[in-house]
Amino acid sequence: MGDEERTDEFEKQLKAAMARGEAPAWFEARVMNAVNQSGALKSRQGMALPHRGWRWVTAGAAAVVMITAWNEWAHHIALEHIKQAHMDAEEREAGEAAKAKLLLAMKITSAKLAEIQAKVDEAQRND
Amino acid sequence: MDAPAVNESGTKEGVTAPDTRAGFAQLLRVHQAMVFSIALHFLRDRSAAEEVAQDVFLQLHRSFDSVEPGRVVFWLRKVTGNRAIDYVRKRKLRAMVALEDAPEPRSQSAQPDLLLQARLRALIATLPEKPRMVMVLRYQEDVMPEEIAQMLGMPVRTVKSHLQRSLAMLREKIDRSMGDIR
Amino acid sequence: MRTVMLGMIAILPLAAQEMKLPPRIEKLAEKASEVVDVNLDASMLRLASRFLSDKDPDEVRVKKMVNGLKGIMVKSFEFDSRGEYEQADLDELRAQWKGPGWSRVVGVRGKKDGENAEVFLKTDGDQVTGMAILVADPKELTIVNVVGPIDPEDVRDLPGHFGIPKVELGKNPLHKDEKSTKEEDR
Repeated sequence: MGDEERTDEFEKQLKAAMARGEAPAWFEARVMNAVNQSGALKSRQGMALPHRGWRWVTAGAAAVVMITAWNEWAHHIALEHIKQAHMDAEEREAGEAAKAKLLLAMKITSAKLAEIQAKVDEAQRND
Repeated sequence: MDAPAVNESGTKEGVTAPDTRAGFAQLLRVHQAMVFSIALHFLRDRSAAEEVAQDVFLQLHRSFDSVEPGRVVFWLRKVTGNRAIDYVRKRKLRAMVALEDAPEPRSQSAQPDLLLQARLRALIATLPEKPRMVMVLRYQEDVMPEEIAQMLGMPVRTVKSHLQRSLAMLREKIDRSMGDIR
Repeated sequence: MRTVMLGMIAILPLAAQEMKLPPRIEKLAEKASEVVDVNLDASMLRLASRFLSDKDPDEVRVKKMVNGLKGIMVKSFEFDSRGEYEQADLDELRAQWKGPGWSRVVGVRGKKDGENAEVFLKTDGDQVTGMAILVADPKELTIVNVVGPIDPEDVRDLPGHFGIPKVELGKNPLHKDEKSTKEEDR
């Protein structure tokens, strides 16, 4: 293989190695939730505060800090719930599939034992 | 790449205005794979990649008015590239993974191509930040060096130099560990 | 060919490495018109068990039965015509159930239709630690292998549910010459 061909092949492998993958299933919900939180923050910040001296300004600033902290916490909790719900759903699906397989295995085993019983009974009757 | 066909504006024909919730959600849906993958290939950490990708879209939401019409994809790649680099620098993170330490694929009987590709990803993660992002943008997104230079704020010759040296390093390490690539 | 693949095809070896399915048996899938393939290792059994109902009496029994099991394998092939498998294929299988601890507790052959059915149990002292069933009909072949501690009473009771009549395996499954067994080929 010539140098140019080797380079092409190598770059082909690089492109394959770097191929795009999918974002996690919950990513969209996570971002929209964050957008909503930031939107809520904006609208609250937009509320007019009475101009009555530094106490009101300080209280307003404190409120913004608290709201920010609350929003971040709520965002974190919401995200964790989304992730957990996704994992729970996956586990539930896998568990139900495993259960279906197990019950099928039990049914077949039972049916075959019953068949054998019938053959034994017949053999004994013919003795 | 399996990205849906979009024009350079990064929007499909007939998409609702991006400043509406539905419009933004649509942009998110169309481009999340690209943004997340750039971050993931660079950071090699899914949780960090999610964080960076989310920040990028939040910034898009905030600054959409300032994004040039028809340049959403460019903007996303640029911002993702720079945010990922900043993320690493702030946390002084760097994948100090030598070839010998690079995680082995689960099964040695995996197809040779998959083995090679896994090692390539691990090796790219050992590059310094700027050359690493140059490689990600070039080989994941097929971006030309001139555009990479604009995105990352460096001269074109620097981008080309990063590409040349990174490729040479990768080839040398792969050849040493896996033999000639045919 | 309609194939119902409900678990990984076990090439070699199976769960708990207690049984190896001969390659010629695996290859029967290519000739079969229908295949059922269930292979559950210990972790899958535990997962399945968590999802069994505590209210359904059948599922409660199954849950009790699988507790402690290391694996269950069921392979069933249906063929459109006779003669798709040979006795030599089955002999290779039976050889694995002749090892230490194994005994053949039931063997029945139908004279008219050439059907052959066998039950093997593996024991360790008084404890049954494995069970195998082989039912070979001209157009159907079924292999069941269960690995792990099984209570023979549970085995007897299994077909009492799912609406199927019971099978008497004999009071003591350790003895081959019980009344209910009949060996016609050696």
